[in-house]
Amino acid sequence: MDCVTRELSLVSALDAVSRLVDEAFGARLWFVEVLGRRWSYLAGEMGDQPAQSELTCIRLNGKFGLVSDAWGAISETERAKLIAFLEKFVTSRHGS
Amino acid sequence: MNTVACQEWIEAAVKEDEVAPYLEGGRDFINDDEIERLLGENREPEPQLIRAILDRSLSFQRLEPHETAALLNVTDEDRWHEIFETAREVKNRVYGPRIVTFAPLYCSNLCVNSCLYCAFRRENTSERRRRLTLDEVRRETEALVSGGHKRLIVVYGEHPWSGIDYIAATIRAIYDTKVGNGEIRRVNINAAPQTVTNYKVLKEIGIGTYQVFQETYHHATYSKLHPRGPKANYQWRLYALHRAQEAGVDDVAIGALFGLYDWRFEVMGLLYHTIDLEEKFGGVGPHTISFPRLEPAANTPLSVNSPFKVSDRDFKRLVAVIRLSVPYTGMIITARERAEIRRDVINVGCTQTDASTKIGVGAYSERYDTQDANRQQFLLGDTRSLDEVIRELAEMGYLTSFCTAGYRCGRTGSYFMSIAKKGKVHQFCIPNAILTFKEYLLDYASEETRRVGGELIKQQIVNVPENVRPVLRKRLKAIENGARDLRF
Repeated sequence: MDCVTRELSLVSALDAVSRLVDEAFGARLWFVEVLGRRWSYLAGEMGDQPAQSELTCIRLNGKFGLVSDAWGAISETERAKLIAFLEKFVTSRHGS
Repeated sequence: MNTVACQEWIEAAVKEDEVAPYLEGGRDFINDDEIERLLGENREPEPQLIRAILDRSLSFQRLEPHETAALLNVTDEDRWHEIFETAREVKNRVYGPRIVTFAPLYCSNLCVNSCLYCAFRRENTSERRRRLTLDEVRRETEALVSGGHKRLIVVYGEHPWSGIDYIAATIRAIYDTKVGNGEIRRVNINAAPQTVTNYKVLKEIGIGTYQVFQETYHHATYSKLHPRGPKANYQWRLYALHRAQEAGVDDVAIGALFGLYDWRFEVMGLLYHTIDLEEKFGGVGPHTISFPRLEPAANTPLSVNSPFKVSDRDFKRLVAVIRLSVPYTGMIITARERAEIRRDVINVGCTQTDASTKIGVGAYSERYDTQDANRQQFLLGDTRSLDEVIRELAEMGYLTSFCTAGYRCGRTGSYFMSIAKKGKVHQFCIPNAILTFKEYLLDYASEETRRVGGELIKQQIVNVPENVRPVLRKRLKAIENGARDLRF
C-alpha cells in the first residue's frame, strides 16, 4: 500500500486506499476530518445506499478518522495492519 | 467595552481584501438589471414550456435563471396547481416524507447594526438587551434537550460581546450538555459574516451548518435598509458563505427575508447565490435555503408597513418555485408562520421546520410562555409545543426526523451534495428518520402522539428498501430495549 500512496496528496492517497480495500475485501470505507462531533468527509467511497451492518467509526489520530459500513468483512489481522498503516500515514502527512 | 473600543471593533469587522478575490471587475454575482430583464422577458410562459421546466426539476436538475423567471411569471391557477404538485413530488423523491425538526436558541440580542426591519437594531431603545452567560446557555440547552430536541440553530446578534470567542464557547457548552439519554447532536449557527480566520475556528469546533441570510438581494434596497454598521456592506455579507467554504466549512445555508423587496426578485437572488456557490466550490451549493417572511417587530414600523409584504398566496408560490429551482437542497419553514400556513406550505417542498419555538433570550429555561415583543427580534406565528407539531405532522403522513447521522459519519459537504443531486438521500433519511422518531416517541411523546407516530412508522417501514428493512426492524427493537443513537 505504501508504494501506491507515497507520491500522492493526502486526499488522493486515501481515495486510493479506499479503492484498494474495496477491491481486496469488498468493504467500503471512507475518511473524515474529525472536528469535534462533526466528522467531515475527506476522501474515499461511501456509496449511496445504506448498508446492512452497523457503521464503524475509528479515530486514526486527533485529526482524522475512518468510517466503514462493512468493517466486519475484513479479517481481524488485516484490520490491525490497515489501521497501523493509516495511523502512521495520516500522522506523517498532517501531524497528530 | 467602551464606546471607542466598540466603534473600533465595528470599523475593523469588514475585511475588503477577503471579498475582492471573488469580485469580477468590482462587481458581485447579483446583476439587478439582468434579473429585472429575465423577469420581464419571461412573462406569460407557454404551458409546454412550464411542463418542460417541471420535468427538469423532476430529474433533480437545478434550473437556469430564465426557467425560474418563467415559473415566477405563471398566472394561470391550473398551472400553479401543477407547480405545487410537482414541488411536492420533487421533495418526496429526493428526501421522502420526512421533516427534520430543530429549535432556535437565541444567545444574544446585542447588535451594532441598524437594520430598519429588525427589533435588534442598535437604535431600538425599547429592546431589553441581554447576552447569555455560559451557565445560562447550558440551562437553555437542558430545557430544550428535556423536551426532546437533538438539533439547534443558535442565533447571535453582531456585537463585540458576541464575537468569535463567545460563539465558540457557547457551542462547546451546548455540545457538552447532557440530560439523561438526551443531548444536542448537531449545532447549526446563524451569526454575522466572519473572516476566513474566524470561520476556521468554527470549523474546528464542528458546527453543523453555518447560516447567513442576505435579507434582500436588491442592491439599492439593501443600502437603504442597512444604513450603518458592518451589515451596511452588501458584498461582505454576500460572500460570507464563500469565505466559510474557503475556510473549510462545507455546509452553508442561504436565505432572504421576504417582504423587503419584490418576492420574485428575491427568489432569483437565491438562485444566483446557489449557482455562484456551486460554480466556485465544486458543485457544493447551499445545504439549506430559508425564506422567512417579514413579521411584526416591536418599535419597528417597517416590519408592518413595508410595501413589499408577501401575501399567503404568493408565499406558497415562492416556496414551490424555490423547491423546483434547486430540487436537491433542504428548505426550512419556521414558526414565524402561522400553523395553518405551515400546514399548507410544508407540502410544497419543505424539508425542515422548528417547533416549541421561543426566541426571547433566555426564554426556554425561564419558562415564560407569552411572547414579549421587547425581548424578541419579531413575533412568532406558531408557538405550539414540539409534541403537538410532531403529532400534526404524523397525521399528515410526515415522519419527524431528529437525524444527525450524516454529519457524524462523513456524509457532509460534497458527498452529501452528490447523493442529494442523484435524488438518493432519502435512502438514508427515511431509515434514520424512523430510528430517531422512535427514540422521541419512547422518551418524550404524549400517549396520543406515541400512538399516531407508531402507526406512521409501521406504514413507512414498507417504503424502506427491502434489503434494509430487516436491519431497521432489528434496530427499532434495540431502541425499545434501551439502545439509543443507532443509525445508518
